[in-house]
Order: sequence, then C-alpha cells, then structure tokens
Amino acid sequence: MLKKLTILLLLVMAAVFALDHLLFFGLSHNLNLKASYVGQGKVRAEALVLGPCEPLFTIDPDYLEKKLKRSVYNLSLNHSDFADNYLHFYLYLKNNPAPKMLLLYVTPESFDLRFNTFHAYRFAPFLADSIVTATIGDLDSNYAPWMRLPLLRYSYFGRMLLFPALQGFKHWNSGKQKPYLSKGYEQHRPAVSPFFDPARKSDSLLFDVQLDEFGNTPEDAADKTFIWNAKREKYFVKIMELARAKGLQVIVYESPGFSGILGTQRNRHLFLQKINALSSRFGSAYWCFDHLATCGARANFISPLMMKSAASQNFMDTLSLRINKLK
Amino acid sequence: MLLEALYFVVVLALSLLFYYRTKYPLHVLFFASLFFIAYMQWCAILLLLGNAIFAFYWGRLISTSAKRKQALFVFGVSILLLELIIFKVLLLEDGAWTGSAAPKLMLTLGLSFYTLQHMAYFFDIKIGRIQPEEKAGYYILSAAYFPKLLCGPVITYQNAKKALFNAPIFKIENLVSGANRFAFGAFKKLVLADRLAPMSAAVFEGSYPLHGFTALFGGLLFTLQVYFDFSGYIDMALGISRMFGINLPENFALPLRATSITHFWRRWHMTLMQWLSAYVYYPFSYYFRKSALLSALIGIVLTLFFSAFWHGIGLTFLLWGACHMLYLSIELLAQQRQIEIPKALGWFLTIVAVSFANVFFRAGDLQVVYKLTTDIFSLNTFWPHNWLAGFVAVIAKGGELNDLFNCALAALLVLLFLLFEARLNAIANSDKFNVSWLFSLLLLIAVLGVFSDGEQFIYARF
Repeated sequence: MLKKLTILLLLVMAAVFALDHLLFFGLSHNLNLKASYVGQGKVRAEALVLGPCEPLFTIDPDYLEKKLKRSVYNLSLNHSDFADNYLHFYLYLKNNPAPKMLLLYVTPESFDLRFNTFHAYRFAPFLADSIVTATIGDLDSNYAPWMRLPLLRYSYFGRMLLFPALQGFKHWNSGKQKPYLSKGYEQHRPAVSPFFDPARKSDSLLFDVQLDEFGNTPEDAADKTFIWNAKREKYFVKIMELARAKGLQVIVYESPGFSGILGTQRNRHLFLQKINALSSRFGSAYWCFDHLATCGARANFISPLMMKSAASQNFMDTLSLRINKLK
Repeated sequence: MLLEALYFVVVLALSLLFYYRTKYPLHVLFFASLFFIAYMQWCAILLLLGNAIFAFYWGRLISTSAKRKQALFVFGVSILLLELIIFKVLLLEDGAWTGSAAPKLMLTLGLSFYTLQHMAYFFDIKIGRIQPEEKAGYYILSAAYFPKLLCGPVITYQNAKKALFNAPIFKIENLVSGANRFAFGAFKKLVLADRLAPMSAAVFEGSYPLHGFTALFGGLLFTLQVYFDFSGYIDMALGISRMFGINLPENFALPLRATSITHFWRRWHMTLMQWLSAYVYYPFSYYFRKSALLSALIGIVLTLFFSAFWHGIGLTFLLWGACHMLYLSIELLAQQRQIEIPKALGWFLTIVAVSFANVFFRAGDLQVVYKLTTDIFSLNTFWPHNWLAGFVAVIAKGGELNDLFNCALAALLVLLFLLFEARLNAIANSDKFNVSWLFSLLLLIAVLGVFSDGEQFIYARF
C-alpha cells in the first residue's frame, strides 16, 4: 500500500513537472500570442500602437507606415485594459529595441472598470518576471496563489492556454517565423477554422448578429455615466512613466466614435478634461477626433467606438498628418 | 478556490484522524459538519440548527399526542413548506441562474435537502413507522452531516441513523474506495460539467435567434452538464462518507442509458424519487386506490408537481414538471395497451424528451422559455442552413480556433466517458488501490479541469 502510494506520488510529481515545462515551452513558442512573440525579441518597430480592440481592429500598420514613413507594430489586444497594455509594453521593451513613438489609445471607457479587463492568462509564460507577478498579484487575487504552482499555473486558465500551447509546438516544429497577424493588426472579422469550411470568408457568424444589435440596442456605450477608477489611472501612469524612461514620444489619442452614442454619454466631457490633464503631466496632449465628419454616419461604424476599414483609413490619414506636423 | 480546497483537505484529514482515534467519533462528525457549514456561511448554521431543533421537538410532540397527531403533523409540515416557499421566493427574485443570488443561496445551504428529511421524519412518526429520536444531538447530526448537506443524497432519518451511528472501524479499504470515488466525482465536475457549462450557457443566455436544432441541442448540453455536475457531487459526497466508513445511498444508475422516461426516473436522482414515492406518490394514490389508472395518474401529477416545487417556485419549473407528467402519463397509457417500441428508439426519444423538458428547467424565466420554444418549433428554420455559423459557432461561443478546440475537446471527453461509463463506475467503486486510475484522474483534472471560472454546484441552488 505504502509502496503504491509512493509510486503514485512520484508519478504525479514527475508528470506535473514535465507537463509544466511542456506547457511553458509550447506557450513561449506560440507566435500568435503577442506576449510570446514580443518575448522572442523579433519585432523591430519605430512606432508602437497600444490599446484594446479599437486600435487592434482599426490601425493597420501597413497603411500607417506609408503615411508616417516609419515601421509600425500594433501591440493592441482585444478587451485589454491599461494593466494588460502596460505588461505587453513592458515585455516589448524588455526584449526588443525601444521604438521612437507610442500611440496610446485612451477613451473615457479606459478609466471605467466596467469596460475591458486585465487578462492574467496572457502572462502565464512570464511568471518568472517580478513585474509581471506583482501586476498579477495587484489585479487578479484569485490567480495569485496559483502562480507558483507547477502545471496549475497554466491549467488554472486551461480553456485559454491549452490550445495555444499545442499551437506553439506546431509553430516550433514547423520552424514558423512570423505570426498569423504579422504586424499585430487584426482585420475585423472573427477567425474561423479552415478545417470546417475552407471556402468561407468568415465575416459573418455571430458577428452579423452583433452588428444588427448595435443598430437597435447599443446599451453598452450609450447613456453612460463613467466612473473613474484609481487602478486604471495607476497603470495608465505606469505606461506613461515607462515610455518616458525609454525616451518615447507618446501620442495619447481617441479614434472617432459614433456621435449618436457619444452624445448620450453624460460625463464624457469631464472625463476628456481629466484625461487631458493626466496626459499633460507627461508632456503629451490628448487628441480627440470626435469632431470629424466620420463620426456622424452610423454606416462608418461596426460598434460605437470601432470604425469600419474605409473610415479607419480616413482617420489614419488625419492622425498621421497631425503626427507628421509634430515632427 | 485553491485555498478553499486546501482548507477542505486539511479539515477532512483532521476529521478522519480524530474520528478514528477518539472515543467520541460522532462528536467529531458533528463539529466537522458545523465547521464546514460555518466556513461556507456561518448564518446557515442558525437556519439549520433552528430547523433541526424544531423538527426534533415537533417529532416528539407528534408521537406523544395521540389525539392531535394528524393536526400536529399537518402543522409541522406546513411550517417547513412555508419556510421553503419563503426562501425560494426570496431567491427567485434574484434569479438562481444569474449568480447574483449566491449569498442568499449560501444562507440556505442544504435547506431543501434537510427539509425533506424533517418532513419524512414527521410522517414516519405519525404512522408509527419509527419512534422519535431521544437525543437532540443525534438528530441534528443526521441533518447536518456535511458530505450530503449541500446537494444530497436525500436520506430519511432512519436511513441516516443506520448509516451514521455505528462505531467506526478503521479499514484502509474504506479510505482507498473513498479516494477512488472522490477523484471520479471531481473529474466529472471539474472536467466534464464545467467544460459543458459555457456551451449550454451560450444557448440559454444568448439573445440571438437560434435554429430549432441548436436550441434543442442546448437542452441536451444542459442535461449532460447537470448530470455530470450533480452525479459528480454525489460521487464526492459518497467518497468522503466512505472514508468515514459511512455508506450513503446511490443517487444515479446510468440514467442517460434509460430507454423510457419511467426507466429514466428510476435511475436519476434516485433518492429524491424514492422519497417522493414513499411520501407523496403512495400516500396520495392510496386515496384513489379503487381505480388503478386514476390513482397512478394522480400520483404522477402530484409527485411531479411536488418535485417541480422543490426545485424552485416558478412557472418554468412547473412547465418542466408538466412535461414529465405528460411523458409518464403517455407511457402509463401505452403500457396499459401493451404498446412497445424498440429499445434504441426508446433511448433516443427519452433523451430528446428529457432534453426538451430541461429547456424549461434551465430557462430561468418565461421570456427565455418563449424564445427557445419559438426557436424549437419554427420548423422551417429547425435545421441550420450553415452548420458552422448556426450551430458550431453558437455552441462554441465564437468562431475562433481556441473556442472550437474547447468545444471539440468537451465533445470527445463526454462521448468517451458515456461510452465507458459502466466500466468507469466499477473502477470508481472498487476498494483496490489502483495507481493508474488515480494517476490518470489526477492528471486529467490538473490538465483539463476548469479552475478559473468553474460553476458552483447546480443542485446547491435548489
């Protein structure tokens, strides 16, 4: 009995440590995970785009590069908050040459806890880094005790990490060099497995329903009274401090939003003033583009703050013109 | 969750140690049970103790008062029912499915389960089947015994007495067998049920229109989820109990292999059905015994009405109960006319019927019921035109590769499990130390378990 128990314990321990290393290896080699990709130190960009889904889906580095005449990488991530952005920015600077410019997307929603969030699972392969663990400890107290446990640090977020780890092995095995989103920009459509329907362009699925819903019930963004959150401010300041320490020029901006919605947000103007004051502390003005003609037409938007690609190209023209004037 | 699990393991280990070492094992069980409840929600102790003390003294009152026995019995049951109604109405306001009712649910920890025990206790004393317990501590322990408190199995006082109040004899086989069963339950809950939860939630909580097949499939997903969730809890409860050398009754016997609804109810939540048969079905059908068919039909209606009420006060549960009343009545009539169908067809129809009824069970409110039944009965859009967009993407909660992987993995695990379920059950009930069994389960749980956003036990809501 005791012998069997010992064998069981030894087997479990061996399996736990082996799987822990395998998952770490897989995740670190997955080029499609932005944190892992920048962690490999392969990115060379002069301008970095940072923020949640709005810049992810609207700022096309290939297009912006031509206008700015400098290389651009889009480090934005879906549903991310400032802390998420901060850690990605930190990992980027730690492993790659520092860019010259940071384009940071900021909107009143960015300072309100009800919008976007911090995703600790994105940083599971970087738990050896004290900055990463301190940030996770600050923002995800549920995950914090699991961080130091072999294997469980990954399987805690198993639904999000198991597949990427397997994909990482595939990338390593195939010698893949570039990620699926080579410059971090994602065209606005959900990715669909070609396994199911190779001919499909994958631009409808559930997203069609969301588009229809936007026309009728844009409750997520309309009629909001924003609530300022101190932790959001803390990590915004950390991004700005990190950029300043590396001598980056920071452009704090908000891309055009649908005026039919923005007009209903009760304290939007107060938040804009506050963000402007905060940015000014770091020598950056806050650029808002809610006065552009683009903002008036519903047809230009996928959601209240996200433009369709034609409208976003117009916006990038305006943005780059303004940046170029700065130079 | 990690810390909670650690505390639980430590308390369990200490309880086992003291249980087998001390001269007062029942005291150990009593305090371990109180500690367990207090850890989850200390206020729940007051409710549990209040109920148990009331039941203890009221039982004695029923037994000593020969003339007013019936009146005291009716009054006692009414008090318990009223309390159940009050708490269920309070919970209903917040919606048991949304998670916002969680603090209140904790307050009423196990209320539905121990209320059944108290009611059966009154009934059994009234008809003279048992004598009232003389020691309040024993009675309270039978209600508070922690492995069964949260989600059952439902036991009567005389069963609890037989199982609990024996001198403990330490056997290593009990520990091994308990561990085998506990790990099996944890696997069912953490790997199977919690992987299915977001998939069924996508059907029941989405506001988008669905194809009929997708909506009905949501009912099947929920049926699987609730089965793995509930039977997983029961396995863990029985496993822990077995470690103490206490055998609690089984609650499931391969219900998803049932070939008729009658068959299904003999295999699903068996202890509740036994309770309902003994204390609702038989007493009421007895009054209509002159007509066998009528008495059976009335028994079915009242039993399922009580079962629906026990699960929750709301039209959705009543509709769920009504579905099963209809199914069982049809089967009863078919049985009388000696109509038989092939077993494979019977199994298929049973699964579809149970899944359809579970659409009402899970819906939460009438709006969702209306939406989903409209989806199911819109026959021209029953089958998705595009299976990827109309079915897979909905169930997988998105069209991304990661979502599809999780969906496919859950489907594979569930299929494999159901295919080998009987064999797995046999290993889980074995008292042999099987290294490969425990190793496989622990590893599967560690790699595939859902820890970050797992669901609370479904039956803890009732």
